[in-house]
Formats: sequence, C-alpha cells, structure tokens
Amino acid sequence: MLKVTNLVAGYGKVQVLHGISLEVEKGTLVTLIGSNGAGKTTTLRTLSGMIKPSAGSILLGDREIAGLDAFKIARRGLAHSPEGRRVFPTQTVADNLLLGAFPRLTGARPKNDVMADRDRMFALFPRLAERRGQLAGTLSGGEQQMLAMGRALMLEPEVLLLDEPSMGLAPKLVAEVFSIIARLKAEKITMLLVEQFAAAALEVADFAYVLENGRIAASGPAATLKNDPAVRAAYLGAAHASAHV
Amino acid sequence: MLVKTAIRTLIVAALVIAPFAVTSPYYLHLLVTIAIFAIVALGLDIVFGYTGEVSIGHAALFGIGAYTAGCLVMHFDLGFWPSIVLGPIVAAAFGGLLALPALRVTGPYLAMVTLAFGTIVQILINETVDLTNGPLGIKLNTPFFLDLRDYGDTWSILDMSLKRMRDVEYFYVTGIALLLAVLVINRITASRFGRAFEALRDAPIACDCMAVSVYRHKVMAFIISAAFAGFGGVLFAFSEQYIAPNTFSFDLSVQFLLAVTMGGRKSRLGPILGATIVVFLPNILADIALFRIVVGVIAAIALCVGLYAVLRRRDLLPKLAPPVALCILFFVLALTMRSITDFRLSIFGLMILFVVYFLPDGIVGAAKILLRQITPAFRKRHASTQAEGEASHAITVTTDAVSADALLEVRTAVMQFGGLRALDKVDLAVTAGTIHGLIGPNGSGKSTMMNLLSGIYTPTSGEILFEGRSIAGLGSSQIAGRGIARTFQNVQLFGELTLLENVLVGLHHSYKSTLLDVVLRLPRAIREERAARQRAADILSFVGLRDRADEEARNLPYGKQRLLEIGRALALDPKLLLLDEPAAGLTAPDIADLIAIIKAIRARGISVILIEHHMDVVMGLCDVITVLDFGQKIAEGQAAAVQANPRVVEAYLGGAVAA
Amino acid sequence: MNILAQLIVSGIVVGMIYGVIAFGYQLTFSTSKTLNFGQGEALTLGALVGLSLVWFLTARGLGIGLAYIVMLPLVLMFGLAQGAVVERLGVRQAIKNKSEAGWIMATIALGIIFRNIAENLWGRDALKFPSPLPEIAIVVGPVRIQPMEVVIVLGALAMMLAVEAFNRKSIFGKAVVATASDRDAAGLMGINTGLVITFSYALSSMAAAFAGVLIAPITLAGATMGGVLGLKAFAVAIIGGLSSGLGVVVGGLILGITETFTGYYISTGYKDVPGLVLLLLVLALKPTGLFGKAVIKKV
Repeated sequence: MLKVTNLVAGYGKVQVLHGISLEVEKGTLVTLIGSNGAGKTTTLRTLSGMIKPSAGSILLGDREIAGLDAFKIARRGLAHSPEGRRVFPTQTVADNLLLGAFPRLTGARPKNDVMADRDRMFALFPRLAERRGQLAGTLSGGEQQMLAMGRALMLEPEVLLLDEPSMGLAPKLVAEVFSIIARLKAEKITMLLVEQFAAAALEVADFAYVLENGRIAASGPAATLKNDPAVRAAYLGAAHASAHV
Repeated sequence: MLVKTAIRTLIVAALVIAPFAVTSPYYLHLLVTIAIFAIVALGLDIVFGYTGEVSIGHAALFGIGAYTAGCLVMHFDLGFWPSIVLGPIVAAAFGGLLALPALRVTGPYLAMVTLAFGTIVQILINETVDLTNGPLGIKLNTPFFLDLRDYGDTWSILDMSLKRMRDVEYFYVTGIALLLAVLVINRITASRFGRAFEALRDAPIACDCMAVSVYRHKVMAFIISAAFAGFGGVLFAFSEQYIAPNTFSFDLSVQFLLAVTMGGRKSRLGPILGATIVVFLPNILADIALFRIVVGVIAAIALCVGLYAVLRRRDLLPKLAPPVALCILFFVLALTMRSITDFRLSIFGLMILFVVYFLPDGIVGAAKILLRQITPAFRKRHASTQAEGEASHAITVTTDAVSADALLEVRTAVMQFGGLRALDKVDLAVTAGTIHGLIGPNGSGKSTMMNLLSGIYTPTSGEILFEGRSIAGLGSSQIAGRGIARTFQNVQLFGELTLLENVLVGLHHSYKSTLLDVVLRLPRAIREERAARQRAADILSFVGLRDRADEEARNLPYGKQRLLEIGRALALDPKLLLLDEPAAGLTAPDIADLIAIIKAIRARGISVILIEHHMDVVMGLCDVITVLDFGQKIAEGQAAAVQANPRVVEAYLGGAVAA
Repeated sequence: MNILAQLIVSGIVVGMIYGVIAFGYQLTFSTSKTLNFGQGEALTLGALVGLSLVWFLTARGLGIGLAYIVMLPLVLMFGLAQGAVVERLGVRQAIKNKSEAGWIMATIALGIIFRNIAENLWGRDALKFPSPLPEIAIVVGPVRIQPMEVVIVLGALAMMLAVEAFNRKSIFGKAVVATASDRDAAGLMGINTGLVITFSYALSSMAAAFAGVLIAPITLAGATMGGVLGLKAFAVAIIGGLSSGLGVVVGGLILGITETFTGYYISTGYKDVPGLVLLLLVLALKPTGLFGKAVIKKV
C-alpha cells in the first residue's frame, strides 16, 4: 500500500534522513522504532508532505506522492495523526472530527456517510462522545490524542500514520491507546506507527523497522525483532537496562 | 579587504572632487540631497536590515529633525550648529516614544504604529501653527561659516567674519556628515550592540536566554535609527532653506525603505546606492526620453549580466530568466508609453514589487551572491583575533562561596496549558556543583521544566528559587543575567554570525562600555572588545571549535552546532547550565567529546541540569537523576537506584501493555 | 446633553466603518499572520467602482435606490477579486520566503499602484456619491440621524455576522478557522491552506469595498478617501486585538466616539490624533489588545 524507496529529507541544510526504504502492506500494522533524534517523526512528516523530500520515491498504492503538497497527499488518502496531537484548539470536538473528513465533505474523496462515521468515532472513543461540544483546547492530553486519532480516521484513509500516540500520557491511558490501535488493526486498517515505547509497539505490530541516525538499521517481523538481543540493548533503552536489575 | 579600501578611497575622492566636476548648482544640490537621504537610509538600515523590523515612519522622524531646526531658527534665532545637535536628540526622543510600546509585541506592529505616527506628525505640523507656522512652512538660511573661497584671493586670514555658507561649502558639510554617519554606523555594527541586533533577528529566544534583551536592543536600534533620521532632517532643512509639512509624507517613508531594500541591507554601500537612485528617480520620471534611455540601459545591463551568469552557470537560468525578461518587457512598455507623468506612482510601485521579488538582497547583495556563485573563491568574513590562549582560563564561575545548599529549588511548580497540565506540582532541588539528570518519556514535562527555569514560561503556580531568590515571573534575559544559561533541543544559533561572534553575544554581559564609548572608540571599548575576543577564542578552544572561529554558524555540521551552543552558553559565566538533549542527533565520537566537555564543565564548579535520552550518557554523568512522567516526579536518586525503581520501569515500558 | 448624544451617534457610525475594515485585517492576519497595508485602497476602489456602476445603472433609467442594490453584489465580487490579486502578487511569495519586510513592502506597493490607477481613472477630485436613501434626518429624541447612517451600522453588523456565521457553520468556514489555528495540521486534513489564505484576502478586500460603498454616500468618493480610513482601522485592530471579532466592533466604537468628541471639543484638525494615542496606550498596557489572548511561545 505504501512503498518508500531511498527517501532523503531534512530541515534546511541539516539532512536527517539519509535514504530510507520501507514498505507497509495493505491491512498490516508496521512500526518504526528508534532512539530520539533518529528521524522517526521526520520520516512521517516527509511521507505526509509536511516536509518536502530532496530525493527518493513514495508510492501510495501505485501513485507517486513524493513532493506533493500535504493537502494533496491527504486527498489521496494518507492520514497523519501528528506528533504533539495538533488538534484545533478553538473548535469543538465534533468540528475537529468533521475537519478530518474535509476531503470527503468537499468532493475530493468519496463521501459515504460522514455523520455515521463520526458516530462510529464517538463509539470507539466514548470519552470524546461525552465532550463532543467542548473546545478541543480544553481537553486533557489523553483526550486530545484520541481526538487526533479519530480525526485522522475520519478521512477513511488508505494508510494511517500515527506519530507517538503514547506521548505525554499516563500509563493507564497509554494502555487504552494501544488497545484501540489493536482494534484498528483487527479492522484491517493499514497503519504505520512511530513509537518511543518500542516494546509496546513491537507487541502490537506485524512488522518493524529500526531507525538509527536517519538510516534503517534493522527490519523484520515484530515478533522476531522483539527478541533480538541487539535491538533490545540498543532501542529498548532504560527499560532494557532496568529489566536486568 | 583590498576591494573595500579601494571603494572607500574612491568614494572619499569623489566627494572631494565633486564640486569641481559638477558645476551646475542644480546637480550639486541633488548630490547634497543624495548625501542626506543616504544618512537617513543608513540609519534606517540599522532597524530594517539588522533587527529586521519595518519602519514606515522615518519620513516623520526626518521631518521632526527638520522642524526642530526650523523652530529653533524661527523662535529662538538659533542656527545650524545648535540644530545639528538638538535635531537628532528630539527625533530620538520621539523614536523612543514610539518604539517602547510598539516593540513589546513581535510582528508587524512597529510597521503599523510608525505608519500611523507618520500621518499624525504631518497633521500636528499642519495644526500647531504657532509652533510650526502650519502649512505655510518655515524659511531658513544656510548656516554661517568661514567663507572658504575668499581666502584664495585675499589671504586675509585675519578676516574671520562669518558669511552665509554657499552651496559648495554646504556640500562639504553634508559630505563630511555622511562620512561621519558611515563611520559611526560601522563602529556600532562591529560592536556588541551590532552583534546583538543581528542575533535577535536570527534567534530571538536564544538571544534573550543569553541575557541580551531582545526588546531593549530593538528599542535601542530604533532610537539610534531615529537619531540619524533627525540628523538628516536638520541637514535637509538647511539645504532646502524651506520646509513644509507636505514633504514629510508617507511616500517619502516608502522611498527611504526602497532605498535600503534596493541598495542592499546590512551594508554601507547599499543604502548610499539606493539613496542615489531614489533621489534621481523623480528626474528620470519627469522626462520620457530620459526615462526610456535609463530603462533601456537597465534592460541592457540585466541582459548582459544574465547572459554572462548563465553562460558560467547553466543552472541559474530559471532563476534569472524572469527578472531579465521583465526588464526587457518594461523597456518595450516604456517605448510605447506616451507620457509618464500620470503613472509615476505606479512605476514607483512596480519598482518596489520588482525589488521585493527579484532583488530581496538589494543590488549590493545580489552582486555579492552572483560573484560568489560565479567565482567560488570570493568568500569573505572579517578576520578574528588570532591570539593564542589557554583554554583552561576561559571558563570561570563567580559563585560567591559555593554552599552545600540547593543552588536551585523548585517548589510545587505547576504549568497548565488549556486542558493540559504539563507539570503537576513538581519539586526539584539542584545541589551546587553537581550534574542533575532530568529524564522521562517524551511529553513528560522535561522541556516544559527547562522553559520554566529559563523564564520562557511563567509557572501557573509554585516557586522557583535560585540562590535563595525567587526567579519565577522574571523574563528570560533577567534570569540569564542571574546566571542560568541554556541550550536548546532544536539548536538555536545565530546563523549569520560567525562562531566567534556567537560566543561574543554570550559575552555581551561582560562589557561595561556604553554606546558612546563604542562610537567614540574610547580605549575602554577597544580594550574590552579585545579581551572579549580573546575569551571567546578560548571558549571555542574549550569546546574544540577554535579552528573554525570565522565560519558562519549555519554552515557547521549539526553535531558541532550543539557544541557551539554549549560554548555560547558558557560565555554567560553561568552558575547553572541547562542542557536540553545535547546528544540528540550526535554521532558516537561526537558524544564522547560531549561527555568530556560536560565533565570539564562540572570540574570548573558549574552545576548542570541535563535532559537526555541516551541513557548511557545520563547514567554515566549524573550525580542525581529526577524522573518525570505525565508531568509528575515519579522517582529521584542516584543512577542505579532510579534504574531499579519499578515505577520508572513501568513509565518507560508504557504501563501494563508491555508488562 | 443633546450634543453629547449626537456625538455618540456620529461616533458609532464612523466606528462601525472602522470596525468593518479592521475586521478585514483580522481575517488575513488570523490565517497568514500578514495583512494588507493597501487595505485603504481596497476601500477606495470599492467605492469608486460602486460609483461608476451607480452612474451606469441610473443612466439606464434605474432609480437610485435600486441601482444601489444592484450595484452591491457586483462591488462585493470586485472586492473579492481585488483581494485575491493582492494576495497572489504581494503576499504569497513573501510567506514562502518567510520575509516580513517583503509582504509589508509589496502590499504598500500594490496600494500605491491602485491609488495611482484610481487617480487616472476617476481623477484627483473627490466625487459626490448619490445617496440611495433620502437625505432627510430622522429625529429620534434629541438626536438627528441620516437614514444612510442607520444603513451603515446595520450593514456593517450584517457583514461581520455573515462572515462569522460562515466560519462557524460551513465546512469551508471551519477550514478557514482550522488554517488560522494550525496551518500545518490543516494541511494534513486535506485543506489547501494556500487557497484559504487567498480566500481570506479576498474576503478582507470585500469587507473594505463594502465599507467603501457604505460610507461614500455620506462623505465623498475619491482616490485618497481610503488612506486615512485604512490607517484608523489599524489602530482599531490593535486596540481590539488582532484575534477577537468582538474586539474590532468595540475598538471601532471607542475610536469613533473618541474622534467625534475630539473633533467637537478640541478641534476638527486634531480628530485623527486620538487614534495613535490610544494605539500607543493599548500597546503599552495590553499589547495583545483589549480582547486579545496571549500566545504561547514555542521553543
């Protein structure tokens, strides 16, 4: 569904990604793990067009999307729940969800039943249903994360990019977020998940890539990588270190 | 350097010879006007070019200078010399009045306020008839002076009677004034003040965190700039010998802006060149034949330069083709036009658009870039002091008797953003002379804590005590002044400054010399600058970047940029250094350097708070580690104890999921 | 007492005009952090195009009232187009280059060009704009009000409410608000944020053109009519805060009433002065404007 080949990108003169290649099969959940500053978020930002790549190819389905503006990529069906959630703080929860379906409401993507989908999101995230009329800026961090995920799902995306959905959340909420990701996986939604909690991500994913200094350092089925001692040592960080103590 | 000296000599020579070459009083007067406009444009460049703020009120400040002269002449019968002193002072005072409120906010506010100010000043000049003679204007005479040309004939040196200055003498007066303006501005821009002006534009937050108040320096730049406008205004009043309110209009302000942009910002030659064009413009636009010739010549030059550049570098074609084509098109348009008098303003507007689109760096800037692209060897940057130094003296701590008590104490700090509680009643105590680690998953509140400690945020509630005194609610630059320095997660260097200059901005606080010392080049200023450069070079040695001192910071590789940021922070002589993910994005050898540097910093008695994700760095360096999760402190203690803490393990694994 | 009420009413009328123009500044500032320094010229062109249309239509035998009504949608469309031109020519490139000086100078330049065009097409003298309503004052208690003045206040309010309703209710309006609060995130929603910014400029100029045809019947229409109005609206936008819809109305009223009082009790020559004084005071005391919200710095 998503095939990335030799992607090079960065900010200004600082090159962060030095030729990334990865693939996300339709209906699978792939995770991208790696230490801070390895380029995980940059990868997602480049895929969704927030950053223009300086080289490489990104195929969504069989169409090239590298270099397109972000809004065009979204209209092709790539949804991105960005790092830091980025909900629209001055608009209500319900409106935030509607905005996620903007291409559907304006004819750029098949419309189907937007309102029914919004109700599905409220069913998936009951906390949001309670707060549908509330301004998004007044939500707690966990609720904002759910809103950001729901908003991205409203696109009826071909591929969903999730950037650090656990960031800044209390452990209980992290568990909740991961159970939702597992449910989406069961619904055969194609996802690329970036996570700092490598162990949790490997638990839920089908396939994983390990990013190191802007390059893919390792890849394989998530179950295999989870037990790879080298990967554990390098990327499970303090968790691994403390696991021995 | 050689080119610069040659150009300077040429300009001075041209100034001396001009009155002999240009005998027509009309053109001599134009030259005087150019010099005056150049002075205003050079002053405007300090605000516009260096600090990056836009002023559309310089015509008003110029008018205030002129009217100060007019009023002194009309009411007190005081002449040129008192005016030339008072004019800049009055204009500077008005400049301060505007800038103090307007620059509290970033964005287009200064532009808007100065635009309004310009209109109001015109109204006030028109209305306060008693003071300014209203719309009728004021007549002035040229100043008294020794009549130079009498001496040639009579050699009556004893005849010291003063006579009214004639145009040639006045030309020299303005010429000298222009040279003085260039000299003064050169000195200011080369001083710590000039560096501050440039730094605050590149990275305002970092600038504040170097104890260099962005607000204060912007206001200062504006006041200096206003003083030059007033200075030009006085010269203008005595040159025209008649002033009326209509002269000092919005259009004139735009002309000054155009002069700076078109000539080229951040240079001396640029504004002078721009002023020349702007002053000649009305003459060109008054005569269709002359207009066609000038446009034709410009089109020809554009074509030649474009062709030459494209022949040397093929890839420049798409960039150069549109402006060259437009120049030629404009020439064709000029040939078909019957009259231009009605379209003067439109042509003026089109010129501005052309400059904004195709000459954003001005003529001088574009020439430099073009030269650099065609001949890669053409690179410049002023030489630094090449003095050899001993790095170990570079870093000093001025703690008054380091006590075992907490250097920094945070009590129940809360930071709330809308519905998000980024920090929830966090306590933190940092003992002097230690490295204190701050770790936790992403979004746990570490960076928020850094921003609280460096004054970028004000806590919603709670206390922050540094050396026993509260710093909560102080501004970044005040906190930096107390001795807390920081680096940034996403590196914030002053990109257009050299490495040495970046560190010198950090040393800003160590200077005592005032603006006046700098302008007059008093020994104190020279001595301090030399000492600071020496220290900056030592600090660069300390972080291992000495050999690249004269490169622009933005050209450094990422890893070195992080080291430079630490060097810049050390220049502040901090007691506490906040390092926000210093190892992020670094390669293994860079990290080894970094660890050595942080250890050396602690050895010199500077306390450090370290946020870092590389656990080996944290565990190897930190004396105490605090773990944050979800805005709360969940553990604190020595490395081994923290690692063993089950709550920490849980936080890092993401709770029950992975357990 | 009589005169006091009369001054307040006159102040409200002028204030609403300032409010509409300032509202236009807000529209573009919220989406793109830029604004049109040639906004006054957008007002001028709107009024003059409106005048020509009214001339044309009355010459075809339409009554002045009907001509005015037929003219309105055409002028609004002209305003939309003019604003779009300003954004495409003056602002787009500067936003891309992140050059603040660039858009300020470019919009000033476009303003100068538009003023020059107006001078060439309609002459340098101020022209009488025929009033669509009888110019007989209505007497309400101690106050005399021109019917056109009532139209100005109602029209201004209607315009602002219509845009607000559009922003709240329609999906396109929601996209505008989304772009204003987070441009990158809006792009991820499939919103063409560049187009939204062009659109906000179009709306902004439309508001100014509308203000032009509202005020022209009680003043005069001419190439220089917009300059000072645009400037006053700056003051209003800052006084009210560049982020608050209510702010521009209140700011406009404050400035309008202050001006009529200054004009009456001090001198008409000074009536433009309080704007700047208020502007500086607000910036000194509450830089985000009376109704503005503080912004959280991102590091």
